[in-house]
Amino acid sequence: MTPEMVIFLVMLGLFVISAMWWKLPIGVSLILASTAGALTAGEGIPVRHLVEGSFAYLDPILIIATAMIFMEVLRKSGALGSISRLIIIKLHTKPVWLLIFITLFIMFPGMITGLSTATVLTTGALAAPAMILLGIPALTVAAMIAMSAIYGMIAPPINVPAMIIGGGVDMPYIGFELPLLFATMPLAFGVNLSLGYKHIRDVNLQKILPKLGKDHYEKYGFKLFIPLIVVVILMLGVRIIPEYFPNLGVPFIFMIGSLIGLFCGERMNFWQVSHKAIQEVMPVIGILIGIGAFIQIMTLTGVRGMLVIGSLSLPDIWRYLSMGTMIPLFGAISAYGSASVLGVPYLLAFLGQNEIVVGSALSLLTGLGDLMPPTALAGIFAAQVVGEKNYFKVLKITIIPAIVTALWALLMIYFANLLGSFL
Amino acid sequence: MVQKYKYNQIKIKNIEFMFGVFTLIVSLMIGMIAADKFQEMHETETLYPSYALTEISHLSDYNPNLKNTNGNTEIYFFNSDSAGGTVLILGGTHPNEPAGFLTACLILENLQIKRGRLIIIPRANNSAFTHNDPQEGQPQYYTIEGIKRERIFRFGSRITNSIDQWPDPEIYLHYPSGQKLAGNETRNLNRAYPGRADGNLTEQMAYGIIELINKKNVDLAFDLHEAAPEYPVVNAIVASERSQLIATEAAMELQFEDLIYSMEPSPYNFHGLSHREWQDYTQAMPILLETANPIQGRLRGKTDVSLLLTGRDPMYLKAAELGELHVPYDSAGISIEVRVGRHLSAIKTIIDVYSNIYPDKAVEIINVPDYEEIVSKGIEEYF
Amino acid sequence: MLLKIIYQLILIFIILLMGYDVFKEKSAWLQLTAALALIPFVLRLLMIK
Repeated sequence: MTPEMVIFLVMLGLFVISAMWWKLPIGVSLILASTAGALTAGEGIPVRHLVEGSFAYLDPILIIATAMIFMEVLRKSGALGSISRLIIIKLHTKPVWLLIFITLFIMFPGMITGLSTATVLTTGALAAPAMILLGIPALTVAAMIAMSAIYGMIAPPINVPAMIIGGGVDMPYIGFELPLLFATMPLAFGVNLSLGYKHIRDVNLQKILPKLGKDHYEKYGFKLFIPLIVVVILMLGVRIIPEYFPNLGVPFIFMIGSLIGLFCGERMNFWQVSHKAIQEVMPVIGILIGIGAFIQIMTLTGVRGMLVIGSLSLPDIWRYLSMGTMIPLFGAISAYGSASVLGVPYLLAFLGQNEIVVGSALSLLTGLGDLMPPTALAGIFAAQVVGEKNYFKVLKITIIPAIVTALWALLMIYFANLLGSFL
Repeated sequence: MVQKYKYNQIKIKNIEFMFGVFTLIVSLMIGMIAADKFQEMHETETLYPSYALTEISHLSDYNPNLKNTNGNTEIYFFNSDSAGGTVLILGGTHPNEPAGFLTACLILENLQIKRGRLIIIPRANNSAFTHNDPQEGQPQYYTIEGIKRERIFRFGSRITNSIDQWPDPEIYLHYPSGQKLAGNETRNLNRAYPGRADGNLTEQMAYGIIELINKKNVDLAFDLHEAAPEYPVVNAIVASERSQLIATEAAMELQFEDLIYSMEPSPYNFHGLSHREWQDYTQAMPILLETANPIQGRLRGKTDVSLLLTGRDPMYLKAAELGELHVPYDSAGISIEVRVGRHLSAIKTIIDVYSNIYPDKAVEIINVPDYEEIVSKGIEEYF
Repeated sequence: MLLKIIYQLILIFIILLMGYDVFKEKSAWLQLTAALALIPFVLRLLMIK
């Protein structure tokens, strides 16, 4: 057994023991496992490396934290409830259009930010109550939101994994729109219709209406939606007319939206609302900090290299299988990490095929990484927005859609040149 | 009973509070240890220029906005007594590519100049020398036991330090082309050209370099890099339309010395790169040189100073067997001598070819070793 | 430059929330998680890393 293998087994073993057996939070387990890995490799306790690794997630954590605060504000102000109400009343008679609308609605923030978590926590959280009230089981709703968020993050105009993969081979992010639409839209509609349609064929509005709760829209009117509209305009503006629009960054935009939200609906205590939001995401923040340390130690000790070489050294016939499994599996650590560490070498391995189509398909595979525990960001937050404690129940429902997605991506790679000729 | 319940409540609250304080103290200690390590990186290594040095100026002389920022950096001028052309050598565009930086340092500390003028910027992105990339697990320093003195050099990051330029946009829009790249590329000097005088710090550096090239009438400009061995453009000379001819001729001459280079044209549709924008915004002939550097590759194994200096790595050996690499690779690795040596020979050959084609703009440097010399004597001989 | 100051203000807000959370979390391990998560935020706020 190579030293890297020993270190990997120590890290994995201690992680499993402390997370599953000792029931420690995943973040703490990851830090313990990283420290053990470093000790096994004879690096002592490399404090600098452990802290440095976590910095990779500083900006993502800011986005998640501010998105969460924004959503709590919308919930408290009454905007969240009113949006579900509107969706149900306006669209309950046209189930197919309802699902298509909801799918695009959920995907939207992902398409313009490239972030699956921002998607689940914003439009996912907005749509969830309505979908549940329409009669879709909560777990299915969570699965639909998680899948839509992933397709949203991969769909154009913004797809960060594709940019990372392209950046690794100096390929500019140009001409990805059609291949990415092809990679995501058929799947997004197909998955959501197949999961949701049977539950909303006949909706009895009279039965649902009493459950909808107080209508804040009557009291506050259009004002209720101003924070959401401001956030959408600020996010879209910088994408559509970047020359004239200030680039504020997603965290700042969410903070602006939150502050406006304080004055556009029910009164609330901003500090308490924000603290509740932070408390809810604290385990995820912990996971990201821990993952950062974990990857840094894997890289330092050569475990990362061993895993990459391992997945590249499978025979040709297995290469597709290994891509379809290893890229999402590595996403267990981080989808962006997977794009950089595995996405780039795989793209290099397929040089000569239409690189834009291959890159698009690889980015779709990395997106699936957001379903892979322990990070499973899309799954964890989707479970959270429907109030489910055990996110594995959500992940179970996403297994078949995820397999279909992986196959779709692999077919795209196999037929890359053919697709490239008309996309 | 009520009394006791309350007492327990208070006790539990106290324990929670005390544990909170305890965890904060633990975090503070960890944070302080790390902070100490991070701050050490701001100490600049001393360089010892050769006697041929005539002037040291700063990038802020070409873009005053850089004054008192970490983006400012020294520019070393070596003027000869006889008229000729001007050559610029940029090291440290990417401080995680040590052969580029060391080549510039080695020339700076050893050269004598007979004709024309040489300008060297060893730390083109000074800010990027002050930190390391998260999750790369790379060393902060490496030591070369030079014959004159022991030298400790910093191994930095590919991009500007976040503390000097933050936050990154989600998407980096290159100025002026509007090309989109991943957000953190906004801190990559070699995606920032031609830059802006008042843009972000990295754009300011790029602008300063363009200004220097134009104001000092640089004829031939080198940007020294390294790349991962699995990257297609490696052991390469990248040349733009203007520099294609001399680069091709030099590559043929280098082939006689058994130094194989691939010739890569500067892509028209990829903006922000030095060779692309130096072609379009200056009169200089741009040349970018790449060697193969395992410590920045994604397939590498254990990441340490030994890998940095020897380039020896069992994982890359496997990758070579799998046919994943674009350079020859065996158990000997790709040592820092090989990488610096390739840069030195390429620079010397290209300057010679240039001087032959444009005799009135000739530049002649001596006392700089070539590939053969540095590989046989070791890099220590020159520091 | 203005944007950097705004982001530092956002950082201060998040750090205060996380610091407060260290004392409010019910489980000792989550208290530790919150405290450890503070490290990168404080180092960035102080412009050390």
